[in-house]
Amino acid sequence: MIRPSQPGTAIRLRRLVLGAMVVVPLVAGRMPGLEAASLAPEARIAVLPPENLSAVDVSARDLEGELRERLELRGVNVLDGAATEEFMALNRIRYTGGVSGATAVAFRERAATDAILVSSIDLVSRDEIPKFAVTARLVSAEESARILWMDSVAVAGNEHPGALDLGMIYTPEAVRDAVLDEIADSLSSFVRLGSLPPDSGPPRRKFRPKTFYRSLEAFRDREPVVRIAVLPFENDSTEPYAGQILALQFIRHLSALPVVEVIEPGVVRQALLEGRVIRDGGVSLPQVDLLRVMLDADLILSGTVRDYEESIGEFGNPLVAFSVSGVDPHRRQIVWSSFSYNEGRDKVYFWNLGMLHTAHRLSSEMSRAVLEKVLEERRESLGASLRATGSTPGRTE
Amino acid sequence: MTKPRSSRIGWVAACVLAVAACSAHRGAQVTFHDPVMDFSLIQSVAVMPFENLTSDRNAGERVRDVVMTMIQATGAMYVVPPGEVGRGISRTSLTDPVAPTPEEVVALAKNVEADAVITGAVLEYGQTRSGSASANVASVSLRMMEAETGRVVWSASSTRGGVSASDRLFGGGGEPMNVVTEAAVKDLLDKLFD
Repeated sequence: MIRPSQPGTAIRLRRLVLGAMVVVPLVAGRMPGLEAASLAPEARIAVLPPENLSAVDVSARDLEGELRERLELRGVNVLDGAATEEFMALNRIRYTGGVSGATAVAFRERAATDAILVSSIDLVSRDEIPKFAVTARLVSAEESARILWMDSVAVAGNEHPGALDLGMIYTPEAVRDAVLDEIADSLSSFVRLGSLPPDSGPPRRKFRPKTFYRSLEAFRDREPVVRIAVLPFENDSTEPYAGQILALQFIRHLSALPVVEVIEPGVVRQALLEGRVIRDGGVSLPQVDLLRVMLDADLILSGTVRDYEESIGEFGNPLVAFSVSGVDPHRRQIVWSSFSYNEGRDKVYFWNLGMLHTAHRLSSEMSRAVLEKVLEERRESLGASLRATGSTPGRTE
Repeated sequence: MTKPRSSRIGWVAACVLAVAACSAHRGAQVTFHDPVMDFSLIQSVAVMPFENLTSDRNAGERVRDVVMTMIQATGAMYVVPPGEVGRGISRTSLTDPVAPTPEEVVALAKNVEADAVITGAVLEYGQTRSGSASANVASVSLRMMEAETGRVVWSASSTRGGVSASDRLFGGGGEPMNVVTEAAVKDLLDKLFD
């Protein structure tokens, strides 16, 4: 009797191993992708003056000096302030919110630096409850201008009031010092030990997008590494730089994913300028085509900030609402879109436990939750396709 | 002397009716479905900028954003990116994008390769007051026009939020604006896919 052909033990074992190789890292939120970025401990770093996105008058030069000082104290080899200033003047660099490929190469060749620290002051509040937030990233001094490390810290004076309000901070300087110390600690541990900012665990469910769409076809033939260009978000909120702050939060959380290569915002900005891309209500398909050619991107992410309200005073409640959409330039289609809104006090019932006190932290958690949702859908779709081929038993989660 | 039983029931019924009449009118429904239209043929839609009849400057764009994301999230239709719609509007030189003529709809749909075009109007968006109570309200109407002829094949309107009886009695201020907007749009999409 002729029996239908059954896969042999060796074939079944191979399928199982292959399935496990793909699914196990996915379950753990990891996937074989980019090599972990690293830098030699003695690498020299140029510190650019921070871009001020706080809409409050602060001295970026002072902050640059404070950051440089802290890094030097922690043993990081930092390019001298005067040398950085001279280099910027000679090369006519005025924009400090990003690094283009040409600028990165110039830093390497003319200032003998290995990486550039780009930072932004996202929040400054000197009222009754002081608040301060900084986002910083380290960009390699090479033509690809890779993001090697990125972190963001926001501190509000009323975050940890403790018993009898003994933990309250009322002096703006103390809040500012706490933020700069944390950023300097994080960067120095990356430079010296190669350790990236710690993963703060899965985001809470309450921050998930309220409406979400993801095409199952997205990135199917482009894994494991996806190159993503994040465009500055359009801003409909009352906060003047909310669009840039939110885009930076997405870049930060995306760059922490090993399956993703985020294109440095300075490189994206250069492409937008060279391509004369003016976005009026979103990106059109010819603009998407242009950016695909110029940036070799697999996904173009853009969005709109609808609400971005910082909390005011001790009992204030921050509010953030935004929509995000990702266009696959190869398919010329939206493959991912979502709408999110949250308040800092959402699902907070007792003693402000679990409350987020700044719109900055709130937007960070919300953007992380959007990305987690994308990954979750991806795990499910990949698990389903693997189950369909009989490669792996059971669910992926 | 005790009142007859039927009289007491009558009083209770009158009270229930009075309370129901005083409570907010929620979810006003007006819907039109073209009976000869096969909606399963519509695979991509272009959502035009909405007419904003409210005092909130951004209401039209906000509601449009929610409509686009929620239609896309259903997975039933592909939504043409807003930037592409904007490009189509300028290429077809639409005089009034919020209220295009059937000829303009046909030209635009051809330009952006959409099977249908959705226009809309935001009638109310923001806080409404009733006595000392206040709550958020969103009122939206949508129309879908098919790409071949520019004919209206579906239209509906929805209102969500507003001051409820419990708001009047206990205060509270109603739901946040984003929740109310999402509820109104969800109601509209339920009517579309009914």
